Amino acid sequence: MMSNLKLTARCILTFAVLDALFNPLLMVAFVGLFRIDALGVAAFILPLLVLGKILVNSLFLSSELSVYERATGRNERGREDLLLSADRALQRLPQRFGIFYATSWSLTYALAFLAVYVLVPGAFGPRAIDAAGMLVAAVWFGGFAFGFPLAIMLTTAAASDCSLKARERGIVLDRDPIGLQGRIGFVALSLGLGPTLWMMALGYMKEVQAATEQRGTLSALAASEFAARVLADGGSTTRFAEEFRLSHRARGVERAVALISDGSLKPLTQVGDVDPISIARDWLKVEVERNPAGSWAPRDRDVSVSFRRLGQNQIAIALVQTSQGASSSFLLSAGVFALIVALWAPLCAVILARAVSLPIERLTRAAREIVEEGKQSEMATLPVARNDEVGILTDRFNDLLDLMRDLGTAADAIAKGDLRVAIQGKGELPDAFRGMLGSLRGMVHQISETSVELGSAATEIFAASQEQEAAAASQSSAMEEISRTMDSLSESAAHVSEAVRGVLSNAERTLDNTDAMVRRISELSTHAGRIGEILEVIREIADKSDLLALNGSLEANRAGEQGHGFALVASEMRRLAERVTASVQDVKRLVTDIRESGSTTVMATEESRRLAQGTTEAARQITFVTQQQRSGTEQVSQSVKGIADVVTQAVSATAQTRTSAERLKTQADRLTDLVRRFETAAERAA
Amino acid sequence: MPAERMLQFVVVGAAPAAVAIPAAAVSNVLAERDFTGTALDLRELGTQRADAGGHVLLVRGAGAPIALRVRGELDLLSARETEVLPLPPSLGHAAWMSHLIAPRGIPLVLVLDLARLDESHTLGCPWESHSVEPET
Repeated sequence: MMSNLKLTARCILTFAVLDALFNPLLMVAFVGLFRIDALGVAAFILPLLVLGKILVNSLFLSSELSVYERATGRNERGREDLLLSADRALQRLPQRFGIFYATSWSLTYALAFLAVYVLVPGAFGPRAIDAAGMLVAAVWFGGFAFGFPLAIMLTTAAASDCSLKARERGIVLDRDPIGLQGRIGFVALSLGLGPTLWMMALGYMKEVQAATEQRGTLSALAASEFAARVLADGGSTTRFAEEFRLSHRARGVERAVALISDGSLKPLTQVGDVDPISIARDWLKVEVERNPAGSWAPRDRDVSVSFRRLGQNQIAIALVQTSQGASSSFLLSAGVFALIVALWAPLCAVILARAVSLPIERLTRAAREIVEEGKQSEMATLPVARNDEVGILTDRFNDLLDLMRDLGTAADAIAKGDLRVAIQGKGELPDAFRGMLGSLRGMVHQISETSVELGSAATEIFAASQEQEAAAASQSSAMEEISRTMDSLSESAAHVSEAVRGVLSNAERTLDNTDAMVRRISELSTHAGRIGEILEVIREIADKSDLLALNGSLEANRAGEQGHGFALVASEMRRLAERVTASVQDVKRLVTDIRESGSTTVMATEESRRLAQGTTEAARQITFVTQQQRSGTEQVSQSVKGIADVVTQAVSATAQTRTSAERLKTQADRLTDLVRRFETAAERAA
Repeated sequence: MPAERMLQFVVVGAAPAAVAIPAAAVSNVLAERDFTGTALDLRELGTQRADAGGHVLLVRGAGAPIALRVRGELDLLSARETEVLPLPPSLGHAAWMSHLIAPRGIPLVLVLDLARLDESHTLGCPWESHSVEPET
């Protein structure tokens, strides 16, 4: 469920829980520091202050992580500046919050002390201020020891996410190099000093408490002993007091005072340099009325006062003042221990951290030199001191370095043109190199073949370009000639057009004449027909004349000699009729010939008419076509001139092509030379 | 020596298919288009020309006059009596010809046997009689 929360919420919740857990632990420390009546005040104030601290921590975390939350929000997810700011916030948060967290705990604890000190006068025992100071320091170191690593732990995932996103977008993150040793050393120092100072403060307070109790016991014992001597011996109380003082001095007690007082606490013996009654008068007034004996050892003072009733009106009172020597020696020894811890803990941490960080630094430096400077071939094998995780990492790095050296050597040989190298090793990188080498061999082979073909093609293109250039030049001349011819053709078309107009006029006149001739011949045919009719009449007359003459001849024959003359006349008539008939036949033949000739002439004239019409139509078409031809010829002439220009440009372009082909041939030859530098396995075998 | 008698014939057609009819028997010659009546059709004799003109000869035989429809040129032929030779009966009877004219210098001409062409002797005649209508 924690993973679903935002980073700020996770941090606030984590440190709030931690603060809540620390709260009762810190209360324990108050037990030794305060009077029992002040503990209630402390138990009330400290949780309030812790709640305030949680609030302040929350505000600090919210402020520090707000830019990260904006950068991961839906609306601002793509902004580069926000990503950089978020990463900077995540990088600085552990240290800043570790210090802030430790300081807030120290201030909270100090404020709790101050509040109890103000609200409950006399709540502190002797030396409690010293212990409080140590506890505040212990809390600071302890708070840092918890806050810093936890902050690192909580922000690691987010910082890694920032790194991945930045790499995806090609953004270089602005991260300052951080010394691992210093951080581990300071955390170790905190881990060492925190508990040490904490235990030191508690021990100190126990020492003070033990001294106080001892002082009370001594004073009670002294009062009882003094009372017993007075009652047993009945001697001088002054002498007893002196002996009492001396004997206790001999026991290491700094000051011991004993006296006898009456019931109203009025000294009956000499008081000495210190008056126990004046020191503990209030307590004595109450206690002597209630109890036969008692002891008073206040925490905030180094004296203890005890009493014992000797009778109805005598009270033996003893005061014991002990020095703070025992507490001072504890403080000295504890201080030395704390110093040793303060020195040795970070030293050990640094030593251990160096054991880890130095190989990592060497690995980092080597990786940087390889990545940034590319010195893998000059890179020496990294030493491996131990077979721990770092040692194994270094060993694998050396393997990787060897592999990169081998690949680098192979790549160098490939770069020099030696493709016969063999790539050793397993894994994707050697496989990829082997694949690349195979492809390169194939490619070089193909390039070699292609360069030869390219050179051949370039030579052919060069020759073709030369021929094309010559052909284009010839074509250009031909185009110019064609242009001139087309101009001449256009002029000829104009002449033809004029001539055809004359032909058209003549053809139209011929057509008119032919029509007139057809009409004449038709009239002639009509006349010939009428002549034929007339001839037929003449022939019929001749036939009848012939028959008359024949019948006349017959009659003349029948008449005998008398009809002889008539027979001759009839005979002549017959010959005449026959001649007429023959003439009619001749004339009919002539008329028939005339009509046939007329028909033939008409047919011929019709053919001539059709020819004349065809000639007229053809002349019109020729005129139209000639005009079109003239227009087309002019257009063709323009086009030919355009083509001539294009051909001229083509000549220039072909010249450029020839030059390019020449250069291509040169490049192909150079490519062939370059490819020859590569030595492949096939060439080696050859 | 007495002068030799001359005989006149009307010759229809031209040699060698010409047929002669004694001119004394011919009473009139008409153009075909001018004749109306029944005529013996002799157009197969005389000429083979289909376009030759047609005539009707009115002939006086032993009986009533006979109209002969002929085709071809009509001409008069004078022949000596000695040049007119009678045909043998066996030959002439079959051809309905009676004489053969053999004048000098011209082809032979057969003479139609008019005696058998009488109405009473036309039995077995190879030529048929048809009515002839004048042309309108």
